[in-house]
Amino acid sequence: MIGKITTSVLAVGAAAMLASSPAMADYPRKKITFLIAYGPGGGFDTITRKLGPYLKKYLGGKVTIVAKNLPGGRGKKAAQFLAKRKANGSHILMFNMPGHAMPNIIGEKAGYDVRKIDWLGRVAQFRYVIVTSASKGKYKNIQEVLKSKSQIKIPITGPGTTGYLASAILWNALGVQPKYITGYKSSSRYALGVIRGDGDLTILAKGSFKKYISSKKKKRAAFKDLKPILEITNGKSEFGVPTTGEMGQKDLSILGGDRIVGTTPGTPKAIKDQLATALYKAVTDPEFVAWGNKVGRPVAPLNAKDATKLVGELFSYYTQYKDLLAASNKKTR
Amino acid sequence: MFEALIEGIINLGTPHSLMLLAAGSAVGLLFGAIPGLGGTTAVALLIPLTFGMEPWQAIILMGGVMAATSTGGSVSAILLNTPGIAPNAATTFDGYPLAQQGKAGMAIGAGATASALGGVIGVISLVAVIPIMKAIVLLFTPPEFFMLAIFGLCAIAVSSGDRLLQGLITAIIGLMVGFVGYYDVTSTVRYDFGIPLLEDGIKLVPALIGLFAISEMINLAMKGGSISQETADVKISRISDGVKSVFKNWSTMLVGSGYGTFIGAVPGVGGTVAAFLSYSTQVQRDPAPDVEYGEGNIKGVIAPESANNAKDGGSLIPTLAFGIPGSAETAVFLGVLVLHGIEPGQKLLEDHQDLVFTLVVALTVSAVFATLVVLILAKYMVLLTKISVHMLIPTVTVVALVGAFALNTEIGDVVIAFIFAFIGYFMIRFNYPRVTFTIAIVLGSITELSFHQSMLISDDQLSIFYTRGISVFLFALTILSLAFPTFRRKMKERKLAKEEAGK
Amino acid sequence: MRIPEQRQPTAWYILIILAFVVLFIVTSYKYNLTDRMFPLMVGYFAVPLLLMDLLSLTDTKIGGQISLFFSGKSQKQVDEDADPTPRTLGQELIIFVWMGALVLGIYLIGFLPCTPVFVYCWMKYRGGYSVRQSAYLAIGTIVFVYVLFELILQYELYPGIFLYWYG
Repeated sequence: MIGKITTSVLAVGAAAMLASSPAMADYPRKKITFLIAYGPGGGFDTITRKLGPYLKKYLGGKVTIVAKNLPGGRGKKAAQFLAKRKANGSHILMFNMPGHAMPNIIGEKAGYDVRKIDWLGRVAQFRYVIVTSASKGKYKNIQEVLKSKSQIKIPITGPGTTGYLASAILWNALGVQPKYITGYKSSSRYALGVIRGDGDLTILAKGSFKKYISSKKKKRAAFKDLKPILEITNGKSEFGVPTTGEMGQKDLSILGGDRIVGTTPGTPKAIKDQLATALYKAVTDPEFVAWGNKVGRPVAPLNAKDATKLVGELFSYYTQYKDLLAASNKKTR
Repeated sequence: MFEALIEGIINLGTPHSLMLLAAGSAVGLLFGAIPGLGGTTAVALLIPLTFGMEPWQAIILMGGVMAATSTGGSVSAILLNTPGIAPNAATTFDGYPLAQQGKAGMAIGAGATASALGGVIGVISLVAVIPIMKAIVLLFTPPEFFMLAIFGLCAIAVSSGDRLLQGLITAIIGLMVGFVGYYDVTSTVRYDFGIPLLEDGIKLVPALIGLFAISEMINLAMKGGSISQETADVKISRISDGVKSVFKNWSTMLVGSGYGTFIGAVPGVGGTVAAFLSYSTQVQRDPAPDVEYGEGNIKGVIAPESANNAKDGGSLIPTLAFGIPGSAETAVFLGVLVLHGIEPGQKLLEDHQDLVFTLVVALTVSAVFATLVVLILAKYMVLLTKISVHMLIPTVTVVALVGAFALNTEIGDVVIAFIFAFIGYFMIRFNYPRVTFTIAIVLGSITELSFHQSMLISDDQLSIFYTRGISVFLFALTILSLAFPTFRRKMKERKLAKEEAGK
Repeated sequence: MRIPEQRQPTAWYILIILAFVVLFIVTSYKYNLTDRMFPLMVGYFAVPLLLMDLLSLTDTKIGGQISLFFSGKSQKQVDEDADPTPRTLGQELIIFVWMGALVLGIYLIGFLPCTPVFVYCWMKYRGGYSVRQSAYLAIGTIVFVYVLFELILQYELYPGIFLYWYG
């Protein structure tokens, strides 16, 4: 009896191997398209293009990796395109989490489902810091903000965007009701908004914040630019400012962004594993790591399994705020 | 600073560097000339090539590209009424009528020369303002953006001359087109009628390809013959006449360059607005022109062309001061810097001054180089206006549609180009100005967005618009530009009276 | 209140724009205050302008005054300035059909087959060129498009609706 089962298991296994072996022998094919969900020039564009050659190296060096911008629908178009490819590992995309999950969470028609995407691994992540203008800011530190009687003004991208949501969740948890000055097209635009005094403070990715740190030269001291007042982390602050962890808000440390690479749902396991292994090696390549550190975008590698788990966690975390998300998507003042 | 400049020149002085610059310049010219491609695409596509290069070499290559695109774009704008890149749209208004009159050579000569000089002036201004760069960028907050947009709309509407009413109507239609899609203040998607493509709004480049290139092909199909209606008298189309005309009209070129630098420095406004404002200002400065604007006045070529090349220097101001791109092209250029491990922003200026000046030198040399190439080739390119339209129509239409697709690899953009081809054709047919239409598409969303942002900042106090120096100044300019039509009519009457008296 | 015959096509054109503007205004009311504020302002501003433009076409006194006010020209001068190219609706329709067929063809089967076919057909049947000349230019164009976009720039030129989603 046991023998029979073993035989049949072996037979099924052999059949499975036979079925998958042509795919394995074929892969990697001549060309893999590394999609970019946004236009040329942004953070996703840069990191995808930088990563391409390393991925090629660890896929055996013969495959061509073509970086291709497919902007549209605030990132949705590329994800939709990826989801509809043949599941043969010919297309991969670096997703913007939680941004790409939003349509799924609020039940909007998206043409893809992040819960079904085959995840290959994480490349990078960023966490937030709250900044104000050193010369024009009304509030010197976070205590003043919390105690303030007047309304705090926050320049930010539109309702429903990642930065807006993180702000909404953060200030909600800290018991502050700010006024959002929406409409900035990117984080660098609203950072500029704070520098010139459009509003009081805002939320910024730590990496992109570093380029606004005050100049050391005296001549330019008139523009002291931005300074941090609160860091969203459970660890120690990089900038020596209070952290949300210290304020007892441990939950908030998930707020941020994760750049996770995925491929078309239903991709054969052999191909997926090969891609995931190569991706992990590429992201941990010392040269790539050194580059990330140099330009203030440190890598944060995660393997396929952990990345999949993370997507699940992010999904359930933000689902708690479903009403807030849906409302912010429709709400006008 | 001086040492860094010397280093920049030395960097560029080797044969290898010069080759890189020439290659970049050539790519820029070609990509500028083909509608839909443009500098952003060129820079993005060259990125993989730079992987093996030193940062300064990459900068030379990219600088070569960026300085040459609008020069290339001016050629197709003049010869085929097809703006190669969006800012060249303003060049079609007088450049193409010149080509129709058999003066394409002169127009190209003037456009290319104005481009080179504008480019050089833009770069010089960039270097000059480096110490006060940040202050300039910080001057513009939402109320100023609003006033700038209103000024732009009014100035351009009145420049439609004796088609003022029709100009206002097309401006309004343009504004409506600009309202389509995602609105950043509320994150609402408007006027999309359930079509996913419209969610992102109607993109400028495919719209312009339809509005200018394809509509003109339809128009040519109705007319037949060749673009140049004159039976070639080579003498009047001399390229050198064009070159000379720029020096003769040096003030036009200077004002245009000023506009380009200044508007280029304001992030998020861009070369198209600079070129159009420069054009309309020229129309207003010249109330009694020898040749009506829109009917082939050479100054109508010089003004926008000097502006859209000067903006390359200008748009580097916010890029260097804050690491915030002043245009789509500089956004990609910033990406290239990051790829090479250089963080843009203030630190770039402090730690890598040699690189900044390498870029400055590359931009200058490439602007001049591209112009020389165009001037040398102009003689042959002019032949395009002499061949039968039935060879031009199918080829230009197809290449323009491929260009519309290539921008975002989006087939819907081809449909957009097609729809705008109809709109454009009927505008030609019934003589409704396309100047106001185009600029309204660009400025409409800036107007609305900056108004709502101003209201959010000021807690709904309208006083925010008249309690700030620059916005009051811009408001005064707006009033002046509105008073202009009356002034223009008076001048015209006076000129007529003088002529009468002369007889 | 009559619109002279030579100005009637323009009148139709204005009426079409007017219809478009009305549709725009109606659609605007679907949106919240912030979202519809500017569009409505613009929309309502357009209506009187269009009506004035329409009036300026009529052979009434007020029509003449409007024309004079905005353009400094009498209606007669405006007529003289109009583009003299003879155009009939029939001719226009034929060209629209050609262009429409091209775009539809691209949408269905992609750029690569449509490009040479369109160039060849236009040259041959509208331009009256010989088979050989037409073929040369058709081949030249497709080679240019293929080499530049597909080979050098590595674009995947749109292959038609079926291959795009399921290819």
